[in-house]
This record gives sequence, structure tokens and C-alpha cells, in this order.
Amino acid sequence: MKNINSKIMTIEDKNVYFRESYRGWAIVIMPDDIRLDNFHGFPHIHFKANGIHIPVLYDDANIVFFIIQHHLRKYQKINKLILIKKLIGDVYHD
Amino acid sequence: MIEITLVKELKGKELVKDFEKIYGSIDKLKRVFERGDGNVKLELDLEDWEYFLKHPDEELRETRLIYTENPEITMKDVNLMGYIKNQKPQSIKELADLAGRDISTIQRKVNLLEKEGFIEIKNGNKNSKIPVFNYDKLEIAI
Repeated sequence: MKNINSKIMTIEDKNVYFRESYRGWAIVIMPDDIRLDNFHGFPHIHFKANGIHIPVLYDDANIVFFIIQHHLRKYQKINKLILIKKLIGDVYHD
Repeated sequence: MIEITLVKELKGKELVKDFEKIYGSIDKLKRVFERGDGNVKLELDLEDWEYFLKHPDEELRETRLIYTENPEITMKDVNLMGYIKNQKPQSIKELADLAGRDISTIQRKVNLLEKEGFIEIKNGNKNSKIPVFNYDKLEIAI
């Protein structure tokens, strides 16, 4: 396995960028300007680079990536409220 | 829905070269990011650029995931991607010559491959279109 994993996924008109290394992980959804990462010691989501950090339940980047993939396939867009609820563990089945 | 993964392995210094082609210089990217309204992709690229400048020999596995309902990709198309990657044709005509096929057929194939996300088309000299395929492996999940 390489030191750093990078993925690009395109679903509908959304590009999801994924980075995972020993530094931590980051996932970016464009053009919605949504970022998830665990660079500040806890996994969180924020909108725009300087948006408030909302903690998320999952520290495993692959689980977060899968949730985003599932969300985009199901809704063909980002529904921020539903996505946040899913990521903070408020919605277990959708 | 079929998931197809394009894979390439590269070193940090190669990614830095890619960033230079896209943004010009790291200072330019910093200025664009600071002037903007918090574009998270620019922030991610800036972080990567700063990191790989310090770690040029760090290895990176880059994958592009493609989802397609009904892939019309054949082994001839995979061979075509091989020509694009290895021979680096500078136009669609050059690619057609390399493949020994009719230019209109190749044009249609190139458009399909671009639409499906397998290749990129860049503008060349005198209105020519340059097909680009930069990956090493193509994996199909079943």
C-alpha cells in the first residue's frame, strides 16, 4: 500500500475528492464546497473553508466516503440536512 | 451500475508538477484562495502542494472511480487508451493513424471515452484536440 491514498469520484455533477495518509484524512465535495476531515483531532464537517466545524460520528474515512457515495446515488444531489444527520449518527436508515 | 476504477501511482514531485501546470505557482494558488470565498478544493490542493514540496519522494496512489449504467467499452477501446497513454498522439488524426482505423470512428470513440470519464481532451495547435489518458491500470468491479 502506498503512503497516501487519493480518490476522485464523480456522481451526477458532483466531484468528491478523498485524501488519506498518516496525517489524517480529508474529503471534499465540489461544487458544494463541503469539507470533512479529522485534521484538528476530531472528525468534522464544514461548509466553505472557514465554516464552523460540526463534529461527525465516524473517524473512518472509508465509512464517511461510503455514506457520501450512497447519499449522492440516492438523491443525485447533496441534501445538507440529511447528510449531516446521517454523519452525526442521527439517521441510521434512509 | 458498474464501478470502474482507474489507478495510477506517482511521487509527490510529479503531483507538484501537475499543480504547477494547473495553478502556475504556489503563491498564485495562495492568493486565489485568500481572495476567494473559502473554496475547499483550493484549500485541499494548497495543503497537498505544501506537503509534497517537503516530501517529493512520498508515494501516492491515485484512483478515479467511474460509475456507468451501460458501459460500451470494448477491448478495442482499452487498446485505444493504451495508444493514448503510451504513444501520446497530438491529435485525433494521429490517434486514428496509430490505431489504423477510420478518423470518424476514432472521433466517436474518443467522444464516448471522454463522456464516460476515461480520458480528457485538451486543446492543441490549430484547433487540434489532444486525447489524454494518464492512468496505469483499469479495474472493473463485479
